[in-house]
Amino acid sequence: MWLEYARAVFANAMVAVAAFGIGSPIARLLPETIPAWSRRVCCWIAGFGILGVALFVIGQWRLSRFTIGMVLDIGILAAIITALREHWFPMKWRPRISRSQLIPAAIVAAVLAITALGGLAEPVGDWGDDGVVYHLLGPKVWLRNGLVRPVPDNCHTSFPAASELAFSALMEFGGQRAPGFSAVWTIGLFLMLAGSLALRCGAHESGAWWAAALIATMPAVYEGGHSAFVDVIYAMFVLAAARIGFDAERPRHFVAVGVLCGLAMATKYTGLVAAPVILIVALWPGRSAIAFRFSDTMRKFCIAAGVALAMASPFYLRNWIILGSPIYPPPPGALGLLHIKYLSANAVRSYYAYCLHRGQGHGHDLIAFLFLPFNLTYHTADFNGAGGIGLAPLALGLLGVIARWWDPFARRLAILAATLTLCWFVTMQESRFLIHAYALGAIFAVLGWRYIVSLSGRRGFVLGAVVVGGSVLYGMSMIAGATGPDVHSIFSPSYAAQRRAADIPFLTSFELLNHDSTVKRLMILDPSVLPYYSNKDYLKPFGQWGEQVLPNVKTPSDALAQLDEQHISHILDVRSSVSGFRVPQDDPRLILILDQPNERVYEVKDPGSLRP
Amino acid sequence: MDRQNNQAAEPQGNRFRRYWPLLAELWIFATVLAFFVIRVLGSEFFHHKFHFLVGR
Repeated sequence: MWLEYARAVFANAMVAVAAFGIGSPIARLLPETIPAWSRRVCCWIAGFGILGVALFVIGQWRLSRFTIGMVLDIGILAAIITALREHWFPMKWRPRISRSQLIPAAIVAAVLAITALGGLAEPVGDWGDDGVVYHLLGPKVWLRNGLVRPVPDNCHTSFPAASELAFSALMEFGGQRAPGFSAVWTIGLFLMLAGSLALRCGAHESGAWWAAALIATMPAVYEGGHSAFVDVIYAMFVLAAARIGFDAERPRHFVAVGVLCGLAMATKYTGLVAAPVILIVALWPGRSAIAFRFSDTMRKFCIAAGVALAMASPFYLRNWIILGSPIYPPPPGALGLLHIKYLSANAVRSYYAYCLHRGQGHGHDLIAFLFLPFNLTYHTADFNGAGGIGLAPLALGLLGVIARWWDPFARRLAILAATLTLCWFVTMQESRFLIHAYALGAIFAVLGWRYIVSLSGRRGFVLGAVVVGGSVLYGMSMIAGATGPDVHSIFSPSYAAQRRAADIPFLTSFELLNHDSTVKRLMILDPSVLPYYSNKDYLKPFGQWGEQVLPNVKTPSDALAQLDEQHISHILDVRSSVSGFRVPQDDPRLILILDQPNERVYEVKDPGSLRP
Repeated sequence: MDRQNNQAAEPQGNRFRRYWPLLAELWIFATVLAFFVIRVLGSEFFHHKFHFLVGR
């Protein structure tokens, strides 16, 4: 067991170093005004995304230990060259944490420690858990097939997948637990970036630590950063683009902005909305702009937009070529123009109807928008953001914006947060998609705390401390409660077994099928069964979102008629919340080898034995 | 008398500036109070643990 943990940690160290190395050449593109450590953080973030894009492109031809290893080797070599060139060795790293920074630093360390331990737990969950439903399913299937193709029974595996390709590298070298453990350094990078933004907006070093502590303890942020969720990674690209973009002046700076905007688009479809907003806010002429030239601004916009499109294009082109639409599933309005695979028009419409319903929040009218800050603070669960965001952004964030409005950088950040929140409000109000705005809210809250101290002295300090302390304690209790079972399972094998049995649906069948060497290809008939738990090749004719994998197979009996053609050796049949058993028990071609109240496994007889 | 005259002649902006810290403090206090009422007193946890106070 401990060897398995060590393997996951080692793979993470390897991928983190490779990401750092791959991103290090970006440093030349960054504005010189950005401090050295902030530049490193931005480069590291960019390197993580570029690693994912590179693996995606190579994976169209071959995704194997060799090809992944080659990409990682190049990255590690680049990291070593950077370290040698910058004379890092012998390392003389001394932590410089003053007394005023101790408490927030300890809070951040505690959250990261919980994340590291919980991240080593085995991934479990049912079909409501996106981690096992698709973020980890894609990498597992791509590694098994040696090729990056959308999994036909799961349309979500066709989403932009820069992060999932990094998970593939982690999974290949570190096993199933490695992607979960990566949260410790991806969240760490996100917090460093937030600290960099806070400092740039005028916070002291202790303020930057408090901003990191506030963000780390926001359950709604944490939810999108662990268990192979990619929302924090996406927010990291958005904020890194803003960090560079709002200080950018020269065209080459805008190349770096384009890279990070492209990586946001290569991580989530929401990046398609965020990227133009970032560019417009970054290029909008400031009050102090003396010689504003429209043609110059347009040139910079085109450079950044061109780089962003080039960076994200592999994902969208692949979808267009293979599935018939660059955005898959396509918006219902585009169905008349496109011929897409695997999904019927009705399935696409139901999918979007579900998304609209899920993203309804408190509505899309003006009143709902005016009350949004209150509802997000006090009723985050109504936006599917369990645990909330704490009180600090509402109580102190506005004061922070008022205090720093004169600072062009902070003003642009506030405008970016407001504009992206408006975009989120009119499209899909899913809490995880707003993590970048939550982080900015925490940064402004810290600035607001400083402001109220300057206004009211000691009383202001106490009020700010109550707000920040209350938010942190409340968030920490929520996070500790949610990750408790994961951490417990690391230290107690008996609890881990209990957790597996409780949280992996149809575990008995999967254990039997995974350990049986005669299983060549498995057929899964129920749409709610998660193929992530199968270590064998499988065919799932009917997907969770109405995907129809085989064109002529519309019913379970159609699927059973194709057993020989599809080279099926075993069938998993279950009674789930979706339907009852689907395989008739008297089928002469099948032998029942496992019979449980809710799950059955059949072995398909050799076709030769059926002939008279 | 002079003092009263001075107050009456105080510009609107100055008066706002004088009360601004108090307003800011009130805003923070109100949000804390609302948080306590909605997220703590209104939570299922509180209702479960202190049902003798709030009723089932």
